[in-house]
Amino acid sequence: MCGYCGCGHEHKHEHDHAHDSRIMQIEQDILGENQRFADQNRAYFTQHGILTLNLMSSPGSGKTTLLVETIRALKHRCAISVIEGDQQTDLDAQRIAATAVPVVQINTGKACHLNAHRIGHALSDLAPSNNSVLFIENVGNLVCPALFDLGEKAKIVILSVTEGDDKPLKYPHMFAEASLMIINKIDLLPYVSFNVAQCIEYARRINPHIAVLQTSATTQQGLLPWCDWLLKTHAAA
Amino acid sequence: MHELNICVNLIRILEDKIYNALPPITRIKTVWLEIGQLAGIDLDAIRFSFPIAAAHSLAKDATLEIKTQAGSAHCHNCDKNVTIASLLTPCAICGQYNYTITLGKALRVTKMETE
Ligand SMILES: Nc1nc2c(ncn2[C@@H]2O[C@H](COP(=O)(O)OP(=O)(O)OP(=O)(O)O)[C@@H](O)[C@H]2O)c(=O)[nH]1
Ligand SMILES: [Mg+2]
Ligand SMILES: [Zn+2]
Repeated sequence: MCGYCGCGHEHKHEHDHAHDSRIMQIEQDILGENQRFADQNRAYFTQHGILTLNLMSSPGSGKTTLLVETIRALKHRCAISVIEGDQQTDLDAQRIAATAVPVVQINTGKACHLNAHRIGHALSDLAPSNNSVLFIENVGNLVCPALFDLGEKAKIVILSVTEGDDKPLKYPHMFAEASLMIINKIDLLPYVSFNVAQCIEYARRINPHIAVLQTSATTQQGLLPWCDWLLKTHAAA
Repeated sequence: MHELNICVNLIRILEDKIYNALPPITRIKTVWLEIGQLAGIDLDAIRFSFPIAAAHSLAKDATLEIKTQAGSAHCHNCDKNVTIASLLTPCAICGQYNYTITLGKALRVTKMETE
């Protein structure tokens, strides 16, 4: 049995007497179990002063590349660790491990998103240090991860310019949940028709409070404002 | 497709509820859900996924009754409550998006019929 949650083995035994009525009232949130684990994770993060950020995007927008560059820029200023979520492989964890920060890979198999329970387990393996920054790279998917709270301080959506400026309208739930949108691969702007102002306008329609940064993880353009955002958010946490 | 995962969670909740029920329950006939229009859930995908998730449970032939919860928001410009059909719906009065959602994110199982 798992020490973190006792998963699978401890059911609540509720003696509802079905012979009284064939209708059983339930009134239960279907994602309530995920929410309970997320709350548990959040309490852990608060208690240890850990700033946790949940990075979400479609596959290949540059999450891992941006993380690697961010770690290189910041690892001497604050402790950083990473949880990598992918359906298969530990390729991303290997890329992070090359920067010499602690990393744990979660393979979700068929599931298209991370859930709070898996994060809880990963935390006991990772043991992030007090007052550190923990990045969670979610499974590449602009739909499902938005619905699953992991206990993070903030959700960050990364949108690369090759995906098109209309994505905030097409995947509104993701942009509604995010505190920050990072427009990545801006080095490719000359080659694609991506209207940055239009994209930001769409995102703010869905979420008037969303912050926006523009980066190129390969040329490092915009990396400084992003690192500033991180340090500021970390200091405020 | 998170709807399948949601149906798996749903079946787990139902099984927890009937575990040890007296007299023992042999089958779940109907399950009632309440799903908000703004919850990010596709109802067709739920209907498609439910039988797959339920295949090896007492709910395997159950009927799914889904009640939708309308979306509603408080507009900060107008200081009024307005109906919001989706996250792309502007305030019906001022045409802006400066609002806070107050209702429509429900994803609940409300009751079931057993025998
Ligand atoms: N031109 C350009 N390419 C980039 C940039 N950021 C990432 N890439 C490239 O985009 C590809 C995907 O990058 P990853 O960092 O693996 O993307 P990811 O979001 O982690 O991908 P998944 O984890 O598979 O969802 C790689 O070939 C990167 O080199 C960028 O800013 N500019
Ligand atoms: Mg990656
Ligand atoms: Zn209004």
